[in-house]
Amino acid sequence: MNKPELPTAIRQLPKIGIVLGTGGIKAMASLALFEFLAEQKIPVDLMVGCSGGALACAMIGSGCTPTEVRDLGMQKLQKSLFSQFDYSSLLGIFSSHLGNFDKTSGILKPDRWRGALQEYFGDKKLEQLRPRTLLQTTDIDTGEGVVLTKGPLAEAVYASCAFFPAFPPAKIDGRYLCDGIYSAPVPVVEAIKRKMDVIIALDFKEKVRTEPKGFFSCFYRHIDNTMRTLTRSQMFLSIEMHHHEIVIIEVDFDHTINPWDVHELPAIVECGHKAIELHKSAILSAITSFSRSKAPVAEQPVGSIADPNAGFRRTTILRNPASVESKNSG
Amino acid sequence: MEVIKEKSSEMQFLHLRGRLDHENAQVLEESLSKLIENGARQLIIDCSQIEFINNAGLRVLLGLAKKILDLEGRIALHSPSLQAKETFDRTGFSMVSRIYDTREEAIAGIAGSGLFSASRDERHIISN
Repeated sequence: MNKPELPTAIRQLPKIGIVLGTGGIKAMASLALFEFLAEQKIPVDLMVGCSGGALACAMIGSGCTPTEVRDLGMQKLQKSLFSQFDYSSLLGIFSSHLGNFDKTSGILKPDRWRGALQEYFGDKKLEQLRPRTLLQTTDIDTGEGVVLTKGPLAEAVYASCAFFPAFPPAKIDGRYLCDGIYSAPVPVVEAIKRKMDVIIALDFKEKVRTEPKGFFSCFYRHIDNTMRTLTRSQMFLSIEMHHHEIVIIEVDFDHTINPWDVHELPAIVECGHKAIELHKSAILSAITSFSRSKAPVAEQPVGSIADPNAGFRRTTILRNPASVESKNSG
Repeated sequence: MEVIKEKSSEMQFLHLRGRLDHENAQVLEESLSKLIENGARQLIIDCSQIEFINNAGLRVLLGLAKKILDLEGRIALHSPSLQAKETFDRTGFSMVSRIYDTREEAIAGIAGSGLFSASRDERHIISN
């Protein structure tokens, strides 16, 4: 594949959306993408995250660098966050005489995980994140996708990651919301609705060949397979709906990685680097082809690769300067 | 992008070669539309030499399929290159359209329903 030219002139830049799919701690492979975008000075206009992808978006949107996110993960994510059984709920699965299980229940108690999110994000609100960030959840009563755009960040991330029935859903604005995996595991459609021109979507996949053993392993494999079909159906629809380019990057893992496998973080990020390396050309090509398809703005001085100001830079044709928002928030 | 055409009886065979992206999607679309305007109704497309295909390329193939199906024609894709196969799988394209492994299978399949055809695993119940 020919490597596209590095942009050396100031051009009109497309609106760029990043979509991070579900994948637990594997979504931290997205740090490689953020590093690449920063190197290339490519601003991001929107992030949409689901489940593990929601956590990564929230951390980046809160102002953490990829290195800080990795360090925080190594330090804070622990198995103890995910290992506190709710015995009443667990027994309630087998018999209503022994315990109680309903739509507000979870096999695991959420207190420690919620507490950790509260500690990371404090009182920060989702609408305060930059770039603008949306989190995908699912209404447990209706199965509809619900995209959170504002409100307490810690609870929004919890809801997007609340993998029912392992964790109980979050009650937000009167609705019980659980993991976005059940409605849009890689929520590209949300970026299309917000008129992003170039969408870079990361899909984290475990390509495990061994037969699942035990209840949880079989259950998770079933959910994973269902999610794959849902993702591909939605991706097809997205390509039909979209006007420019969706760069879909599959990040493959050859073994199962649990949410608490923090020791895998360096390997996860390395998998991300490999996947991004393979798609750098497609990302740059999607951006430059958009720029070429637009009329050039006024003649601008041409930068060079050695010029620290060279690279992608947002330019906007100002028809009504008072109404134009700053686009360099990424 | 290069399109090599070959006609045999009622079937029009196409070989797509090179990159199928924003740079050449429009040219390809025009070229394929012209074929339909000139009466082609059964298209068999060899994808073995597609070096790169992105959304723009997929939209051309989909647009072509819609046009030809509207005219009650048939279209089938076969022998995808590794890159094309990965893209067809990743984007869900292969869920709605069977991609045949060989030209012979595509020829046999086009007699059925072509693009948006029954998937490989569909079972037919024949009633009396």
